Amino acid sequence: MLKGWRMGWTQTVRGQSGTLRQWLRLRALLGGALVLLAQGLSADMLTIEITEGVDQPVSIAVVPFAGAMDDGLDVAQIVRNNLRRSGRFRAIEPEDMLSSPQNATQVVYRDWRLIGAEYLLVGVVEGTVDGRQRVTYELFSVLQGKRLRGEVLTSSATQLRNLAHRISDQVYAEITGIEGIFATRILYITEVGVGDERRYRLNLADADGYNARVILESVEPIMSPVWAPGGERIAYVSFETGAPAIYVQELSSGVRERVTHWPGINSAPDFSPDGKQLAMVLSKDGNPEIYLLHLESRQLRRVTDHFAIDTEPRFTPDGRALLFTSGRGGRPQVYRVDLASGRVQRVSFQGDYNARPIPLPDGRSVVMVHRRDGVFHIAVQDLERGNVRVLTDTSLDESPSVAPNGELVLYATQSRGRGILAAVSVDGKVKFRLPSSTGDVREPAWSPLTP
Amino acid sequence: MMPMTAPLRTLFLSLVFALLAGCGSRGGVAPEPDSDQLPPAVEAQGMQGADQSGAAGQEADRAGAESFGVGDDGAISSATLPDLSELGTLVYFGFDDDNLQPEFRDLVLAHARYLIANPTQTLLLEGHTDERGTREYNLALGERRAKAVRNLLLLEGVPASRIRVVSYGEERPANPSHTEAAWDENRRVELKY
Repeated sequence: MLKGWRMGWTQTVRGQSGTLRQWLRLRALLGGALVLLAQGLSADMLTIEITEGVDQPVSIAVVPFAGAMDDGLDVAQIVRNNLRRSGRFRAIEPEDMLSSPQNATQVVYRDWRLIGAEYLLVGVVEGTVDGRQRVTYELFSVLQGKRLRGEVLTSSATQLRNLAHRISDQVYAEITGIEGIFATRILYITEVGVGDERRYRLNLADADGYNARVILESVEPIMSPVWAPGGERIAYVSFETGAPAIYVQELSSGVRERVTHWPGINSAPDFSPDGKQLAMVLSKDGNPEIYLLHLESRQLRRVTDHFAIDTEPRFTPDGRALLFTSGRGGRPQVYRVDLASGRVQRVSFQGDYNARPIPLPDGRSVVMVHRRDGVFHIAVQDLERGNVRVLTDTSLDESPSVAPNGELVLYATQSRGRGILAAVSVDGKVKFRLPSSTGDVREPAWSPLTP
Repeated sequence: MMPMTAPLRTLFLSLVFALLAGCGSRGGVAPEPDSDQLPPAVEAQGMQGADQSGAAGQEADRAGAESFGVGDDGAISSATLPDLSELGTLVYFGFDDDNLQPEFRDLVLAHARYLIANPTQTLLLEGHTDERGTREYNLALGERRAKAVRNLLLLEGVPASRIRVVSYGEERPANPSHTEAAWDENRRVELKY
């Protein structure tokens, strides 16, 4: 259970000279917590621009859903955008459609064959007596002339957008055989302003960039956001006290706890697959080493012991080992440590800089930052055969985060001198960018699938 | 680790010269305790120790800009104390390197003398890196750089209890540009009183 300060959605850490005295008084009052509530902070919003899709995208017609539209929220349009942005679909525009069926009885397959649609999605949105929204949808294969699936979903009006994402997930999974990730969320760090106005923000948004909000704002750096399994808690590093410390925060309540603040480095948290332990880097014993903290018992266990830098630990999907970055070979490379035996094995051998390993959900490959010809890219290495494929053609690429279905990698890169997020599919076929309305964007963290 | 190229060495030497001569306008001057340039959290630290910093500042003022002999083995009197504002406070490093370059030894030794002569004075060493490489690795690298400076201060007899080390990795660049020149400026340790 989380103990700590109860806070709203938005927290601000302040230290401006004007408010310094008040702030110090407050700090004394709170016993060291340098956190204030703030209202009306607008988050730095991301938009998605597809730069590369598959050669032969699947064509789908999503007919405008009949019935009530809540505040102009167009469910069919959201589904269309989601599928289009996946890079694997071509969504036919409503003005090119020959008919507007709302259910199976109204579908004439010939109308859809004529305009080259392989799949057809129709639906109805209705308001219920208790003020909720009921959405019925049906998916058809035009080529086979058959209804593939249908469903009735109910949600509150405010969750209609989420419902559109869930329909997108179902359609995507039905057609591609891959789990959909449109209903997931992302965390990311933004840096805005310069000099005294410089602020670091931890943001939370839907995977399509909507519903962005600030979780934490600080004049000091915020780093390394990561999700706990289940998507209800997160961990991150904040320098708000003047030194790095690791915090664990519950998203729904805003309750958070500072779990470590040893002298020196406290960084790179990662939750174990069962959510009970936090892997992390501490330099309290003189050198950056990897530790495991049991969150309930508070037991701290040291995992590595080497005079070189050991950092960026990540649990393997089975929870039995950690992948990490170490400079023990003279240059940063990826290693694996077995948690039962403590045995360390080198994993990466191609190139002179491989770091920040993120295992794919199947445990067979690892995504990492890889330097080739002096340029930092995102690459994927097959753990059995050892071969490395470079996925990105951008430069200064870092902080890869893998989508929960293992299909896409979100990462940070540079564009025209600014930090932006970009994504690439693990097969390298789909690429898109997520430019921000303001500031530098970095360190994305993709949420797990949520029920 | 990496051999330094001739132009790079020249750059470092000229930087040292500029800093020792008090011309390091870009944050190269030791900030006043209440300076706006200090990051707020460090400012908060400064507030807590404001009395000490103020006293040390006045002492340094009395000493004025009088030169002091680097490498002088004699006892240090307050008259030979350096003016903090004229003493270089930036130590630069090579790419992916945490070794203290010989060019910066004298600067660190001067700080050691200052700290020994001012037993109440504490020092914050901030380690920084350029943006290349991963953020967490750079956080560790920044700490190793700050500790390279700290180790020399300890060797000179400054008590460990008076030196605090914080690494910011690549999070607080001195120059936000994405050029070789900016990266040279960003691989640094800042000495802050």
